[in-house]
Amino acid sequence: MKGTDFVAVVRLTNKAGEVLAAAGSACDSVPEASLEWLERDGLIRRAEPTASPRRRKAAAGEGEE
Amino acid sequence: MPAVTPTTGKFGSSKVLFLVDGYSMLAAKIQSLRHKVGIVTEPSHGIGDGWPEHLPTGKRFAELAQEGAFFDTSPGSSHAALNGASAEPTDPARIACVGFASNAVGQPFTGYEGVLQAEYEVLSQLEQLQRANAMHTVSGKAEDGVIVHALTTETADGNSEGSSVDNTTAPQRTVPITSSAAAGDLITCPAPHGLAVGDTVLISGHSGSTPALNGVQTVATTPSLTTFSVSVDITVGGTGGSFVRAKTNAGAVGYLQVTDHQLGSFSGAVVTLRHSDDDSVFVDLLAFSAETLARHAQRVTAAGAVRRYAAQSLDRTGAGSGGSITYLVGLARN
Repeated sequence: MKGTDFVAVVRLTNKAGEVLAAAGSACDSVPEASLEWLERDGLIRRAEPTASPRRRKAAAGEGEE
Repeated sequence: MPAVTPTTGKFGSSKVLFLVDGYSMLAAKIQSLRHKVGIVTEPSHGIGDGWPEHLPTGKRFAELAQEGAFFDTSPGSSHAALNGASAEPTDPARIACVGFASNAVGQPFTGYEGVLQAEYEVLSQLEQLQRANAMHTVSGKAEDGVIVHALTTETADGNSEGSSVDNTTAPQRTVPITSSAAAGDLITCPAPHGLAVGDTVLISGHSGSTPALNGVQTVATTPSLTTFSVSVDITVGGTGGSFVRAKTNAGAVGYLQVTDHQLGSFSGAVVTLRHSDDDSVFVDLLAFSAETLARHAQRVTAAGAVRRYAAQSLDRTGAGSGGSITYLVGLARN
């Protein structure tokens, strides 16, 4: 489980007062050990997988010829 | 800095904290302060009984009284705080916080859901300074909690996450454990445990079980008032030990008392109560409304989970400099 896989639902800070992730931003700086309880309590959520240009075209009905 | 561990033991009168609507009543050198909580009972005996009997009616009450304060009309003192007793049902309730174990982070305090000032009595006696008494009627609950930010002055934004309050070390009831059993994975207590599903508890001193139960555990079921299970498959039962609550799930109440606020060139100050499961990453629990007044108090409720560690943060609003704010923050778990 990595922080890059998640997006913060609320503002997350640490003991030094640093903002680890603002609401809606990636959780790159969130310690891995904290991810489990943050996800369990709905404070972070899985990031949407980034779609490739090919997949985006396919989703839009522009299939390859 | 680790989570704070409050001092325990006996305390003298110099350790009292008494705040009403942002006024520190200690400035008036009060001579006594009484906080009383009781239950309402009614006689339940009848003909044939040789001794009186009483049954609780399910109601509790709280009272708050102060006596012997100096009658002082200077700004911010007792007369300004107490003059004008509540008379109409639409009058706003006062917000009061009382502590008897010092003005320090992690120490207990009691906040009141609604305080109606019922009496204000000024006394004049020959060759003595004028003094004043006040009697408050509490409407609703007396809410016991812990101080998260002691009444001190801050001149810059910041937070107390480096000295958070760990609920397992905060003053609370330690519940003994009689036994744990493989059958039903049940843990039995000799008295009501007061737990709800989803709470976490810190178990210590429990011996003989497989696997060991000591440490932080999540409450899975509460089949009765004196039994509960945690998310552990117990194969061999054990005995002894006790638990304290860590994370709770029934909401909380936050108290903010601002006794002096100099804005400087800022437009206000926002105080937020924050919490954490692991004392590493903190999230907002509740936010008080932005403070702009020189003296003010707030009581704000939050529903749902209240995690093991509590802290607060101060953020002043607007681009500015200078100024200061003297405030107390308390958290009372339901």
